[in-house]
Amino acid sequence: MIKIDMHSPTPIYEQIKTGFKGLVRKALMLPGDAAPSIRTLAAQLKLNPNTVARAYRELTAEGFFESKRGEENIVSPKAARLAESDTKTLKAKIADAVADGLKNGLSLRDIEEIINKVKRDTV
Amino acid sequence: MKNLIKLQLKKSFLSFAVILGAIFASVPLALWVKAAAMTPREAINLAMLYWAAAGIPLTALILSGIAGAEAAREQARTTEQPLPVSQYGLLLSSLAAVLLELGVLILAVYAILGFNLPLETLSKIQEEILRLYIFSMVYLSFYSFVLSYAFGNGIAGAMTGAAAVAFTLYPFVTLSVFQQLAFELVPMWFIKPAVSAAALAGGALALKLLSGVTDRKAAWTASKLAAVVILLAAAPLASFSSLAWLILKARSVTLPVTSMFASPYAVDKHLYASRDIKEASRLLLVQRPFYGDAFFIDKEGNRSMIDAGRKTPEPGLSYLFPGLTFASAESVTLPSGDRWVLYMPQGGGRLMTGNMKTGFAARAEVKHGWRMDLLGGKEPGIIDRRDDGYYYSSVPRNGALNWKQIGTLKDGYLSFLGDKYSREGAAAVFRKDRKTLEYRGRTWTIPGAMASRIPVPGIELADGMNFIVPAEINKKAVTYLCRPNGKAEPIWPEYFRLTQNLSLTPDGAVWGIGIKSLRSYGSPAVKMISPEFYILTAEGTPLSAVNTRGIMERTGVTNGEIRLLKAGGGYLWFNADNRYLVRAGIKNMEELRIWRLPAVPRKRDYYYARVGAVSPSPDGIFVAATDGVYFMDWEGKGKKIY
Amino acid sequence: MKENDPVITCKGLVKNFGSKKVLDGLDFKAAPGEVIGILGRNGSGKSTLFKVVLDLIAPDSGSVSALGLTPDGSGKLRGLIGYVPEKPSFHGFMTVEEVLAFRASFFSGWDKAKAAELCKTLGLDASAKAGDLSKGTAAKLAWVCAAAHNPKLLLLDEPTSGLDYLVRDHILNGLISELAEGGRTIIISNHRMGEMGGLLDRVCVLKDGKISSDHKADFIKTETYKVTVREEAPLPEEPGVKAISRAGSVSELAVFGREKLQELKNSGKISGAEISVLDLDSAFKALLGE
Repeated sequence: MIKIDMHSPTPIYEQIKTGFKGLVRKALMLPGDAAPSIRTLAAQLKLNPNTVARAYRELTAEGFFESKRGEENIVSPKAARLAESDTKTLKAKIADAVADGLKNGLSLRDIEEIINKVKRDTV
Repeated sequence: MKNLIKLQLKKSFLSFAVILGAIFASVPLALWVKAAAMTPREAINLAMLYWAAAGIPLTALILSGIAGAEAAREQARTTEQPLPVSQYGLLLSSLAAVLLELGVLILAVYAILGFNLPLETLSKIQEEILRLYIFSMVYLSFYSFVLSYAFGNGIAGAMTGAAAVAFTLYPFVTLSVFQQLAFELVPMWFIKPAVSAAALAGGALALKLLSGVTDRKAAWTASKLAAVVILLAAAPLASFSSLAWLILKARSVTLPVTSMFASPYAVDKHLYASRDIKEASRLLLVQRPFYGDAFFIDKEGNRSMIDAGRKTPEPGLSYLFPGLTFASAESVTLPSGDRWVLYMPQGGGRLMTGNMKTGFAARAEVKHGWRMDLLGGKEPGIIDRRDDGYYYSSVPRNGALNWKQIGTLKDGYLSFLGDKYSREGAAAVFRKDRKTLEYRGRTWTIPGAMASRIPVPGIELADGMNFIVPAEINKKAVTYLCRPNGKAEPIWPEYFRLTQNLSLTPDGAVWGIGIKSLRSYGSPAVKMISPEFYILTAEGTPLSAVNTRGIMERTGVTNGEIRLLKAGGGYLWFNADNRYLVRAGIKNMEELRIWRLPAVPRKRDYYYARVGAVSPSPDGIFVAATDGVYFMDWEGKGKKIY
Repeated sequence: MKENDPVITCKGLVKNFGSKKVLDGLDFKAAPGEVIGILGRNGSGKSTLFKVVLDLIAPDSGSVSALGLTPDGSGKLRGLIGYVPEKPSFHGFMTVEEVLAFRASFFSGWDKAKAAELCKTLGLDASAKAGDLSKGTAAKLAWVCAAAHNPKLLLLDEPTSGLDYLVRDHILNGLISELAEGGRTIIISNHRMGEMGGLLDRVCVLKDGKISSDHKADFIKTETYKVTVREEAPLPEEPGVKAISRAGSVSELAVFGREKLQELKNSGKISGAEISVLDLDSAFKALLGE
């Protein structure tokens, strides 16, 4: 379900959060579904339960998870929107920048070079 | 801990079961191979004896050697040490398992023997032997275990363990045997537990230190190594030290030289009475068993040699077992002050004569001196009891002994003796009517006299020659005193005869112990035996039923071992159990002065010994003590004279 | 012991075996709830350190305290720690069931139900003889023995070396399960840490008898970089920078720390270099050699 990249510079708990958001985006998790227990997910991903717990805490704080009828970590109705909005904002930002560049005389090739350099430098 | 021990038992179960099986199998085996002449019980006992003497100790070595070596192996460390028990505890559990197994094996042998050791000759010390055996086996297992663990090798551990135990037990057994046979010089009540404690504590602490190094991988330091060695050597050292202590003390032991084979008519006892006894008792014949020498000593400490003995102890083995020489002797004192001594060292005997000033010289060699008795009086001589009768010789003033037979074994020598006394004016005779006693023309009539065939020896009191004669009137015993004034008066309401149950003191008193109080000896129901004394003082005053209960209570001598030493000046002096000199007022037996005596080697003098470790003399008492010879006066002032 | 007191404190531990210095003034602290990996080469003293904490070996000098107790040789400490030794061994004649029953009698916190459940989860045959167990099965049994008495501190000495994937999974799941209970501190020693990456909070490197470096796990995951650079001469090594390999004029470096990387970039020493994230195994390898 969720893939963790040990070697990514992104902290693992962040990756967990992103993972859940992706699942909701792909409609593999719907509002009302319960997330796997901390223990189960930790066992699956071979992670320290504290790390999973932290991700769940932050997701709950952000409103992505909610507690319903005594159960914790249920996907909230806002979840899809939150997942989308994250991506939407980002995508918009990038589109703006590219548009700016093109407007200001950068060729597509220049833009590709920039992307590659950023890829190299930004680790 | 219980689970650990169970585990250890499980681990070694196989070897244990095999040996137990072998023990049981040896019963039918013994019955099968036994010699025809043996009973089945004897055959089984023999088989068990082999087990006890060889099989069990070997088993102890094997089981503990294996267990100890295994405990040192890496395997034990990885499997058991991670458990939450101390590593030392693990070792102890392994040892406990070995001891339990050994206990069961010993019990099996004991059970096959019928829970009874078939040692008839040693039945008195059976319990002692059993205890020593069990201690030895525990000690053996313990040390083999510790040493096998230390070396990581069962064989090395077993050999050194066996050596340590042997080194401890040898002096230990020597000590016990010596003190049983000879005299107790070092306190076994302290040494036994001390050596046992040293063995067990030393082993336990050494094991703890070793565990620290082997299991906990602490470093060996010189001090740790020294501590382990000292702890393991503690018991053998303690044992050897005790033996050395014993030998040291044995050197200074003094004993009275007395005759061990008395016959009632021999000298020292009562005949030639007060005068002889008085002079004779001024000197004590003392021996030192360690050096084998003997000498006369007087109250000032002046000595005259009888036997030079050996100056130094025998070299070599005698350092491990002190060789002792015991001599016996009799002596007769003449009016001139000269003495004749029948001196019998181990092997041989000689007749010597002399006095303190000029010393003593041998006059004749005698074989079988133990069959002889010296006679004193005007004509000193020797009676020899040979296979074909009694022989007599006067002492060899100039020349050899001149033996002539004086009676067959059946007839005895009493008539000869009686004639001798009569000739020398030392005895009275009964007329044929067996009621009238006659001495130098004087007669006494004693109704109901229990007359004897032989003359009645006399006693020299203040008023002259007196005679003591027992009688029976109306089935009641009474003793008469025949005085020089011709009167025969009853003095004691019990039976007394000079040659049977009376003794003399150097100051001339005669005393005996009442038969009623004598009966309480050996009676288990009686807690305290306090003899009743019947006394005739040198002045001629009779005392009856003198009660010594107060003395017993005050001194704690409850076994009734008390003798009269002196009676005069309104006081009685007693020797209580060779431990106290007690002075009591004749009028009031509760008025006591008690003085402690120096310790003597033998608590009980030989039954027939005429001279004991505490011997009275006119001016005081000699004490042949464990550390030398003392002289104490009648006021309790004592000093060491040798 | 107060709530936040360290679970283990070692100060200046020294242990020599003969002339070999195995621990040489080692300091170490473990806070409650931490999962710490001790990384060291074979024979570097990891097992010795554990045994000192477990009160099985007496240090030559230095102080140790664990769970508020000082090792005193009585074995009490071992009753509170769950220990999986490097080579677990059991009494060969006992069955699995007997081994567990035997242990139960020694540990006051032993939970029979938990032990039974763990056996079931791990697929242990209760009647198998301990002497016949395969390496993996023995490892599982060792894990049950360590976890069944709910210890607050777990020490695992190379718990997954030589084991197949499935057994390793079981062990890791077991650890995660224990962590999920809360209040557990786990110290794992290993000479390869890769698979533990997700569990660890901290990694300590045991080198030359001391803890030579002590990093948070996150740091190693996110702030170690592989810098591939073209150089005529090899770059001098400095703290935080370690050479990984060199082929001709192309060298690979491991750089530890974002700041260090920035520093290098600023100095211009690595201009034109390719920078990527360093994988965990290479990171650990570099730490060992550091």
